[in-house]
Amino acid sequence: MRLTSRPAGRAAAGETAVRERGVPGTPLRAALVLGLLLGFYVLALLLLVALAVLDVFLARDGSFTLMAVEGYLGSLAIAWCVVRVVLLSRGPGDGQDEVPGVSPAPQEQPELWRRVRDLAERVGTRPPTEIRVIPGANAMVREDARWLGLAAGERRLFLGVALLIGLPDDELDAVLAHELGHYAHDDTRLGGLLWALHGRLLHTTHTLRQRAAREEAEEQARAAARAARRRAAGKPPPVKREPTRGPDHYLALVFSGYARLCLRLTEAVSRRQEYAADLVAARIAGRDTTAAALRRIPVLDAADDLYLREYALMGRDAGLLPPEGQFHGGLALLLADPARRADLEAWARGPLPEVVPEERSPYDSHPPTADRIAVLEALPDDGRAATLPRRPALALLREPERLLARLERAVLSRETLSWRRVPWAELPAQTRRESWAREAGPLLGAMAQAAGARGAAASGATHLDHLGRVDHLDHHDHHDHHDHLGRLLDLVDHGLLYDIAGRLPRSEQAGRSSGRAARESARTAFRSALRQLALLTALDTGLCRWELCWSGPPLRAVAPVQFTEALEEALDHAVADPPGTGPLRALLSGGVRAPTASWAGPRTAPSAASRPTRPPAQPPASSGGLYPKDPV
Amino acid sequence: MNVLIDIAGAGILAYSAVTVPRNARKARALRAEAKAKAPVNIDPAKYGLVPAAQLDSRFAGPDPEADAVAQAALAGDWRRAAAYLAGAGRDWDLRWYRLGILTHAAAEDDTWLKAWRTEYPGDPAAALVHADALVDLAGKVRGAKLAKHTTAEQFEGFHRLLAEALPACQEAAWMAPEDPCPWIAQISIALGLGWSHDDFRALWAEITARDPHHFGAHISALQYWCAKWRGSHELMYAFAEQAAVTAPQGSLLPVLRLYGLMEHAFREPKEPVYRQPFVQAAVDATLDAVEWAPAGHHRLPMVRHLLAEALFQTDRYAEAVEQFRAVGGYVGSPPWSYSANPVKAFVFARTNTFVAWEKAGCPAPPPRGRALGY
Repeated sequence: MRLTSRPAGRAAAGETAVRERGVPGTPLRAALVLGLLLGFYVLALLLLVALAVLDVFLARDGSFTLMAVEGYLGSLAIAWCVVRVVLLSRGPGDGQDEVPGVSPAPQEQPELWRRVRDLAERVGTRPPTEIRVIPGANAMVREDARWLGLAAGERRLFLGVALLIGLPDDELDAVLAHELGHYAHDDTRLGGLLWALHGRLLHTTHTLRQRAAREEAEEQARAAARAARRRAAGKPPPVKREPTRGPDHYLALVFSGYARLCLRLTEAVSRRQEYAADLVAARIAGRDTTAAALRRIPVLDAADDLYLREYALMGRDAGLLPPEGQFHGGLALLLADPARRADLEAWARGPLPEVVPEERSPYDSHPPTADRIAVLEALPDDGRAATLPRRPALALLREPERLLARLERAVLSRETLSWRRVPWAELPAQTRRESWAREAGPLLGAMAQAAGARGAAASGATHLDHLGRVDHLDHHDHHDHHDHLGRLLDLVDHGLLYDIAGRLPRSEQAGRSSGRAARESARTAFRSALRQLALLTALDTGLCRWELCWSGPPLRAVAPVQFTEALEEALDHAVADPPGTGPLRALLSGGVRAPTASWAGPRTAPSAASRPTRPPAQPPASSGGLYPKDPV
Repeated sequence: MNVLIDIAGAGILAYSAVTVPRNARKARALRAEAKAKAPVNIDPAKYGLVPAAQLDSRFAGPDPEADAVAQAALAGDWRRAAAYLAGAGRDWDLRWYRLGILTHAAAEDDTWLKAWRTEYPGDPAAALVHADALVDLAGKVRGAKLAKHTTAEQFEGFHRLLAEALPACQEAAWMAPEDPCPWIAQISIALGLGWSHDDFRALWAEITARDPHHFGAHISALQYWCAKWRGSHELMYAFAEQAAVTAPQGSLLPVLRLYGLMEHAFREPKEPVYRQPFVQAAVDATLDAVEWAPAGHHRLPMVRHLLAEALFQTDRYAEAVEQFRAVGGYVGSPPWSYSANPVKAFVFARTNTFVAWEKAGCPAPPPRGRALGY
């Protein structure tokens, strides 16, 4: 009963013919579902009866032959499978699974509730008793009906937060009217029953297949063990036999056939229900608005996916989260970006994807969105154009930030919630910093060891003692990286490069080499780690900035012109023989200056606490203004 | 109940009547197969051959002078190394061969080379050894596996060293304008950095202008034209053919065709590579070239290894026996070095050659145009 959750593109062939026949009435549908559920058990009993009849037929012959014994044993085995799997095993539980989300009470969100109740009145049905805001771009309704769906029960409406954020309020009306239309047509009454049927079927076929696979694997293991025994005894390998399949395999075939039949029947009905609910939505919200909502939802769904993957979870490796309430709410920022908005609008208005006939499946619970829009657009014009100006549906919510924060707490795991919250503007830089610090960590460790060893050996070299003081490496202390890099380069200048590089963890391949080749491998490893440390320093000193970009790839680096090339060259010099650390020092300390060019996107104010104060430095003569560039 | 026992007995009899002979037949076939697969062993001493345990997989043939020079260099005596290289004179292939010995030592440990270069910063020979050692080192860092078995770290080191090696080669070439060796060293850089065919031909023109029939250069360039690097089987055969045809008498270049065959067979083990029509003629031409070459030529061991493999593959066992006897106890050369276990590959070919030769009644090799005693 979702409005939609998948891109258009699959559905049953000949849908139009089905559509004209309309939706069967509730009693008829209840009888269908109930019949199918009973049919499942009847099928199992039929199998048992057939086996019993076979046995009686065998026994009637009177003569007690080898064939008859085999027959009895075989029928017993099959009967046991049927009883064990089909009748005795418990399903995954009778209740439908809970969807994590937040259910605001009517007094908390009066506007939203009022809107839903108004719409329910206009549709002509009883309003839900619970509205639950869930993640994603989905809407669905449920009803905990009693008496096998013949008596009404408690109604619940599930509303995806992406719909609230991304839809204008008249289109949200269309979505709500569609869902309430399902109530009005009593489509939800049979939800529990349907759920029980599907669960039963799924569980049975799944168990049978699992048992069949296990049996096959066991037989193969036995055959392998036998072959191994024969090999050990010096005998030729046993004759290859076709694997014999147990009764589970054949039972699985029978029951999956039945499951396919059930799905075909019930999903055909639910597809027709979607068309009927669309008609309700068109009546309440207007034809064009409903069609627009249908077009927009797949786009929103994709945008929400992208947003969660690329933005909300940007710091997952570093253990960072956007600010409270922004994990889902940040989608609004993405949608507010002009470039993104233009992209998404063009997509929503663009031609609908062709529905390939092979992709239509008789098992889909929803008709393809393209078909639904086509049906809506074939309706007579109701003269109701989209109302302007349009308000975002989020305006229906009172204190949306609190609701979004509650949603986060309900949806995210305890571990994720323990991650550090970072303002959006700092999220990219912090994420980078964490990963670079992790990669540069072994280098700092090796440097401390090497400096310590050298300091102990070289008596009187006081400056080396000082260099050896890299005792505690706190990666979050930004002052340290610059100092660490300086000290590391000092050590390199003192000819300790190979000493440090030799202490870095070695790859398996490098471990096998020796002599000069081993030294070169160590130098390569040293250079990559030094690169991470240099980038970290560039980030900390403000030479490079990592900015959040809502319109394109989420991360955008702002670095001086030619920074990447200059860095690679400077690194080459630093690891050369003899080492020249001058270029790297100059590159990382010379380019610090205030930005001269304005840049797109939200201006990120660096928090004073997180950045070291530094004297204003002269820009090097060679570099121009800031230039968006990816130094990685 | 009697009926039941009758039926069971008859069933067992029928079952065993079918299965017992069948299993016996299968067991016989398996035994025969296992026997065919079992390794053939011969006693090397009986044929005057070096036993497998004593085979030397580092070198293609004996060269005590080279060993002594390399050892002296690693011990710090770079003057002997410099004299050894200078001793090649204007025999550019001999110079390239001796350079290989020094390069190998320098890629292991370059202390002696640094001492040499510190004392004579302008010495073209020292610059040459330095440049070629960088190329060699790059290859060592990369490892000899195919790209898919090579890590990003290995590739990074490989490319960094090659990027260092190219200017070093150019400098060495600038210091010694007549010497083709700094140019030949760049062939390996071209392989590693994937130079285009045009760029490579330009490099090749520089080499052939200095020495048109340089053996080592041809061996290196054949690699470039191989399918595994930047060429194809066709380009490789065309290159080998061209070199072999234009080579003067006494040149060992005809062996390039056998090298190409070996590359082809190694890449496509299932194809009947040695059944191609030109193979017999190529083998004959190489045999002739070997007879023309002076005894003790520095390239003879490698040519003989390739020749032995080709003769073995073309079932010319009597001639293969001669080559296997001539190479003695060394296996550090293609084709064996292509195998994961060179000694095993060599012993397999050698043993089967001698077994087949004995089966045929130990025939003498057919006479060639010019008889030379081995």
